[in-house]
Amino acid sequence: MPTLTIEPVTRIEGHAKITLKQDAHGEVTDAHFHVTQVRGFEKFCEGRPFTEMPALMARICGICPVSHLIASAKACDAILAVHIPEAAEKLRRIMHLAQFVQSHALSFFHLSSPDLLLGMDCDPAKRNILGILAANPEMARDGIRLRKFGQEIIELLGGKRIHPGWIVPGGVSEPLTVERRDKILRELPEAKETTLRTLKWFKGTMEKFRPEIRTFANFPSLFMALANPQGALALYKGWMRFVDADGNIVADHIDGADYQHYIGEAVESDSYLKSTYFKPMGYPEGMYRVGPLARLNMCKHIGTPLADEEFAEYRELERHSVWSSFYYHYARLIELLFAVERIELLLNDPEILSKHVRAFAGPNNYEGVGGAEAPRGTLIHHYKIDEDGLITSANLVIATGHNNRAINKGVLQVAKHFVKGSKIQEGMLNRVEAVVRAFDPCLSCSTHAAGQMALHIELMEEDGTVIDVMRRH
Amino acid sequence: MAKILVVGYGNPLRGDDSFGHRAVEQLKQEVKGREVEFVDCQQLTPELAEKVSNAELVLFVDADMDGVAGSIHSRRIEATAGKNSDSLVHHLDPCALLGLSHTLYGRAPESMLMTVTGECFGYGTQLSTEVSKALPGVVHHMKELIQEKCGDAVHA
Repeated sequence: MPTLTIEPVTRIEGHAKITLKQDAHGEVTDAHFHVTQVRGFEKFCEGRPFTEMPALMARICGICPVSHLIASAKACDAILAVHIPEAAEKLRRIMHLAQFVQSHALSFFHLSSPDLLLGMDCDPAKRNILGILAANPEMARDGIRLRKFGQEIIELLGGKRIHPGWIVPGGVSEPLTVERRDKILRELPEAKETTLRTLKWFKGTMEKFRPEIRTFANFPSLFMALANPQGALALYKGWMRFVDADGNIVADHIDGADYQHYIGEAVESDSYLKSTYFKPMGYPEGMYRVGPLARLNMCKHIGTPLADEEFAEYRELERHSVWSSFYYHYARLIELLFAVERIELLLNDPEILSKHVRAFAGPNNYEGVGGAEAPRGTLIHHYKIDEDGLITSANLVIATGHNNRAINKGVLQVAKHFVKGSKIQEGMLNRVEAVVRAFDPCLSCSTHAAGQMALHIELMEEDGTVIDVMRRH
Repeated sequence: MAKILVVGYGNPLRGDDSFGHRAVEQLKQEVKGREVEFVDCQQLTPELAEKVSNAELVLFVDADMDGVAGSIHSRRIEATAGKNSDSLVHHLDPCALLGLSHTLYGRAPESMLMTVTGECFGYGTQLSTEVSKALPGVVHHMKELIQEKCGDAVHA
């Protein structure tokens, strides 16, 4: 049986390959998404003092260090058994939202917009950020500006853009100054305007992508995200909820500390990425999706005026939950708008300048679980410590792991639809990569250049004879 | 009024690769004035393009690996169109950053790249002896360039 290998998958965070199997008629019969790198963070933090964990965990990822900081600090809050000051929670929320802005801007503008603006079949030599610069410099400027806006907030609060250490067990290390607050507020109108302009552009272009909308991981599945009593988008705090493809709640009010009763973690021999599943349904039937699509399927409203208007329009896409993973892009932009609006609301709260931003305590529990929504989906950190406060075990459940089964299924769906025959065409394979990009996976949870990586594809007969080769340099 | 941007970059945890940061740190002590802005960062990223486009002179400071340890190189650089498109996502070289500045904001200002050949790029926050010796010379050279542009508007 011929096997196609796409390696590496480009314009994603981290290193992966895809293998496609074809039958004698050139029809794709099987597909796998393999993550080919291993990190080992869970292992090498054993023996470290738990108070070091937020700063250590931020090093996992250069794109979403703040999500790891927050999940880690919340796990440590649980070990301390403290309620952090309200101002500290609001400040953490601002930094968290700023990270959504910069991460979603990276995903949409830098990684996916070449496909969306220039087309899936565009010459790969042009289908990149340089192509965007040439075709629509305003869009390129918008992407850079929005990402910068998010990064600058992180820097203003945390002292640096990447791996800030400001979020600590018990709260944050320093209060916000008036000058810094006002500086962020001055930048907000432009960020809002840019996001609205991008949403308008995206909605206007969706019609061109009917085949992709129909086939990009467009199937019923469970969805999981944090939920709150107001039914609004819950990014920082909430309980875990699972809904089915029709939007019916199948499990609700799950405390983060009980995640292991509902979430199982499976390991496949061909990938370093764990696959999580909804335990009551078993593996692999318990496949579910997380991230922007799941979050918008979960909430009844977003919680800010402009984002709610956009959400009302978004909900008209389907009667049931939105299934097509192509709409991750759309959901991502609505979340981006929410983040900008919510940052403004939080900064205008008088309590945000409070000097009381940290609670102090020693360890009062031997175990703590912390969770939050990361840009790509629900993130869980679970630590156990000994009586000296040293980590004895750490388990990290990362968003891309939740989506792993759905990504695999989506790759198969797209490949079956677009990849046919013994002659490989670039556009076919780009769509297989693009469905992966829609999920915005962060495979390494670390900084990796998405740089110019060679693509080497071989189409082989059953006996291993190479019948077609494609190289991209 | 002249506006000068000084950008020191490199990995501050990799020995001599922290040279750019050290140079910026030192220069900040010796040059004051609203006309000079300092940036120290790990990598050059697209988000710097707008700032670069607003400057009249940009001084990039880095470590290099070409030559005898501690030797100083200073050269004028020009904007280039990016060849490695996907790398624009995460990091750029100074010429590509100037190219991006020109494409996006219509300006690629006069720019100099100053580098010192490093010896040790292993884990650590210390500069090697030869690279440490080169630091005052680089800072002095940058001060001269700044004063040439701004005259007495900047001072120690």
